[in-house]
Amino acid sequence: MQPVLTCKGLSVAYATGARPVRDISFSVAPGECFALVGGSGAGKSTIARALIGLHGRGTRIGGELWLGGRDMAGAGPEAWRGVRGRQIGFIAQNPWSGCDPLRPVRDHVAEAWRCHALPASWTEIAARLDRLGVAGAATRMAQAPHTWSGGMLQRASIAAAGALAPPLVIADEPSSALDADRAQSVLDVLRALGSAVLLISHDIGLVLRNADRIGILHDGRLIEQGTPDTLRRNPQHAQTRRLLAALDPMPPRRTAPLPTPLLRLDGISASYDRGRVRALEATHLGIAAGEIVGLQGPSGCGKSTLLRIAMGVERPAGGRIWRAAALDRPAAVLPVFQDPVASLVPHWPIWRSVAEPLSAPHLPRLSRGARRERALSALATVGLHGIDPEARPAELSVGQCQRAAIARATLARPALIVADEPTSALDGPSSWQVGRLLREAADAGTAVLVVSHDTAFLTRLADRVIAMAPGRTLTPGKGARPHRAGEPAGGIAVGA
Amino acid sequence: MSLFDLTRPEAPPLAGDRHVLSRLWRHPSGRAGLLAGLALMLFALVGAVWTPHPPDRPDYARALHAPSLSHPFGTDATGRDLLSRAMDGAHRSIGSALVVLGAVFLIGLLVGTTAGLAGGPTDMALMRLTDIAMTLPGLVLAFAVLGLLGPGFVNLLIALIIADWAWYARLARSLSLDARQRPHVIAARMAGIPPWRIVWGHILPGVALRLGIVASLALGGMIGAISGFSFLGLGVQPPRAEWGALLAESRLYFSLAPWLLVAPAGLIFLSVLSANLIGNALRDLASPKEA
Repeated sequence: MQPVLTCKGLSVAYATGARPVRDISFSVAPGECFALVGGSGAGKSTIARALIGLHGRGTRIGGELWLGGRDMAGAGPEAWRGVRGRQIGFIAQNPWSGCDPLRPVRDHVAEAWRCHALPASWTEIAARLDRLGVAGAATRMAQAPHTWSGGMLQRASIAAAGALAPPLVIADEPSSALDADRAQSVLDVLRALGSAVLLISHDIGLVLRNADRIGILHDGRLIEQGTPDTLRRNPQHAQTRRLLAALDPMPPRRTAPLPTPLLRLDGISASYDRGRVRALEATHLGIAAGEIVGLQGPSGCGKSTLLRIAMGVERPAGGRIWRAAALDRPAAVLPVFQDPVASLVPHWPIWRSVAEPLSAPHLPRLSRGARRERALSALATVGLHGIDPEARPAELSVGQCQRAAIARATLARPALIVADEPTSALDGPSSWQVGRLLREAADAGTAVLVVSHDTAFLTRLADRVIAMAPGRTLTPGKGARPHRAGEPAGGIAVGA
Repeated sequence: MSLFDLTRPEAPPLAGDRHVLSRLWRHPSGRAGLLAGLALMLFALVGAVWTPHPPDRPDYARALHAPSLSHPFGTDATGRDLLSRAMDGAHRSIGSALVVLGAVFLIGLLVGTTAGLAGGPTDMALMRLTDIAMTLPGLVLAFAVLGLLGPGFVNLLIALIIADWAWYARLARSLSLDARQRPHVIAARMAGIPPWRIVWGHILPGVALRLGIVASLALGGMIGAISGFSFLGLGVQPPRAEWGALLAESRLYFSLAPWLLVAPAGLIFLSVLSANLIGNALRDLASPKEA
């Protein structure tokens, strides 16, 4: 059978002369699921844009791009409009940002027909949503997108992408905004459409489970192609091995007892909006020097509030806080943030952001050159010896920025590092590196408090994982050890 | 990687090249704007020290001559060379717009960041002051100030500064409120960096850059506004030349000597265009980094 999509020597060149994608060749057979996997900066999104004709003006597409018997490499916007929806469906990462918040969900699905001047019927849309597993579709589809869950709304975008039964659906990170269970069900629904699927993802585990064939992208080139089995058994390229290594467990967790308690929160409660919104109730948390404690839970359960109280930037409404003397010196608690790029000063060279804690007035004065030296060696310890220390954060990848942010946090030797979703913006190999760096910091005696929605990551990294949920007594998560006698208060109880 | 990111024009990496001017030069509309701006600057600088004919001396024998080799833009009703007058007026038109914008930029930056970072009663007092300034339409306020001070070029600039500063203060306040929440600011605070150094190193540069982009986009409008007031006779007083005033004079002889309109109108158009092109390019260059 003729492939639904064939790329021969596809390359993308920006107006600036940068060529983020070079000489890529692959084809997708009807009904097949072909996955493109790579770390951040590998060129995944650039390819996705090129394949649906949304590369910006001034961006040049080279090579051949065969879609439905037509070479679209040099096609204009008019030709692309005819192809989108009929030849290719597209599913974006975040279903909410693809929806107008003021219009009901059904309008967004109906758009798939309307933009080709075809009539859309509500009963047909409801039936299709129903088939994709949206319960009560007929009434729910008249509601606004924000009232839908991410998994449900992603189903609606799948219904829209498959509306005109295109032979190929391109899905760019379709499940990265969802948690693991929902991610799998969304991919099942996607396969059930019957179209060929081009799956673009950074998640090698997800791709191994779902794709028929996999292409590994690195630095704008397709370095390896094969079935999940051949890639797993016999990876040819070092980068493939690195991606697969991210599936392996973290370095072993600490088993030795931790004698030095650092921080203890007892019966903490917090509320917002003059007491109307309860953020935390009767919560306990303890952490010792050198320990990694993971906090896990759905959004709105008070993770961030608890974190801010632990950091000392917010005062609880009730409860007791015990802090070790080590926490009373300046810069004893340093943060690692969810958005790594924004956590570095945008207009400073990277070394200067990393060295900034050294210039705090409570530390002995260092010359600019000495601070730069210290920053460079800190960057080297997080594996960034190869980068230009004068680079601005926007010139580095997100993963590199997060490593630089950890270098900054460890350089000042804090007693406690507080990390809020440190890996949610990162791909597999980068998260793994961040996990290793946090582990190294803990081994050097720093306590680490990590919030993450990534259960697998926390389970592998943390000495204890604490699950939080609003209004329920909480149980320790999977990777957690039983509470030991003599350990500072472990486990959290919220509400009653 | 969301759909929003996909539909946004691509943000090419800017590695290895960090100087604003050289990045502007590589941006297509930035380069066009810079070229036009440089030509105008040269025109204004030369015009400030030398003109082919004395700009203010009448020569009634040569009144209303059509463009020729000795008078490329023609002559006006009193026989003054229009090229010389346009050159002489250039530094007044462009320079005064730069002075007004520089002043509102500085006042806005100072008042806005003080309000945003100090908070409390200081914020309250400064923002009520800007509210008062903003409730009066800019044009009306400028007319009122000119009415109090009397017409004149310096008074016009003072009036425009009084009419405009509040918008910049408002913007600088919200930018600094946003900046103080940024993760890199929180990280610096927790590392024990003293507040004044956070303000100087982290907050002010970002706020100034964004405010500067807004100011550069407003440059075109400001040249137009100054020309407009001169056109109404409230700015530059005769016989001094200024583009808006030249335009006002040429209006009287439009049916006899339509070419009188071309030079001042074209120069105003060119400077507005150049400022907008540079402003647009700056915004493009700043947004992928600052997003």
